Amino acid sequence: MSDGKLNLPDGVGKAGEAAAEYYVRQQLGYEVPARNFRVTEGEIDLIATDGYEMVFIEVKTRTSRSFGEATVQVSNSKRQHIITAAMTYLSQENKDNHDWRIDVLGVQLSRDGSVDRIDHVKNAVVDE
Amino acid sequence: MPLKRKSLPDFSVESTLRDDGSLFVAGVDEVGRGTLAGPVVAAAAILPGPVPDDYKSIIRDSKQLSAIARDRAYNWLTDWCVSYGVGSSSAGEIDTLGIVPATKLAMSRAIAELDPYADHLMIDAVELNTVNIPQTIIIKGDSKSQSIAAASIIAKVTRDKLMAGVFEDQFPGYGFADHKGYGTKFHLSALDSLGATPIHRRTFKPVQSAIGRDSESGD
Repeated sequence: MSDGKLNLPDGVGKAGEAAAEYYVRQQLGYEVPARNFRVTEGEIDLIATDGYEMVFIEVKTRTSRSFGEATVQVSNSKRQHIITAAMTYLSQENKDNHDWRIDVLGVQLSRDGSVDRIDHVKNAVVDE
Repeated sequence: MPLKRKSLPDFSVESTLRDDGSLFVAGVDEVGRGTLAGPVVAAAAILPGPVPDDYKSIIRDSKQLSAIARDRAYNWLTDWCVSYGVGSSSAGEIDTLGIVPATKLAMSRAIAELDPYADHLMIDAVELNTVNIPQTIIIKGDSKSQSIAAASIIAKVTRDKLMAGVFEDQFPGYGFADHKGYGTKFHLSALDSLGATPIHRRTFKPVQSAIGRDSESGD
């Protein structure tokens, strides 16, 4: 993957996730132990580690210009799905002792698939 | 049934105990049994009643809460509860007594801090034979009882603050602010290069190996 330019083999969503992972590794310096972690109830796009804290990342990809606030909005049912998947991951991986949070990465792609902008919102999904 | 994490803890056992005449039921829990450094910290909490609906979802097993929700729960709880107490046992005490007795010691210290004093205890898994207060032992109590969940949150936040504050300042370079004493790669390699601090548990195998002592006794 070259910086900024992306292919779109499996559609926009996949391209957004790839861009997000690149950003998480290169810009944020997090490790990414898992991606597309699925349980029956839901899926987490990226699982990263910010030091000892586990970061569950929902990637929102858009191609339009109308980005803004809507980027980070996660529906209540989606929120529950992410939390359920996160709890499953922590217990499966014996990472119960780790702090965790849920972030949203908004990826805006231009028509040719290059990345226009990435918004990172920490704790975008709060478990309460 | 709505999709949830583990079901939320409730106040049902507490209510029964109150109906049977207990006035001050305290939940008790601990954190930091498995870390390589720092104290084991226990908390005891007496709640005034069932947690109001607005807060129910954040009064749960502290491990089921994000760091941000846990801090919010802590701030609300320490304000709302009738009384809470915190107690700890040092790494030195853990090495001398063993982790289980040291954990019980931390719990009894937490209980001693309560004012009013508890007349019934609800504890996750362990029985405190040194404390002369009636007890109800509940396996996985932090996900069943709101009082034990409250204690688990208070213990966790208190210990994290201690590790990230005082101990990070006193012993920089080990990453205590990040891992809070758990055995990460970074922590083990710091142990290797910097040696053990007075807050390291020398009877714990990874500490022994990192500081190059061989172990005779198991832990």
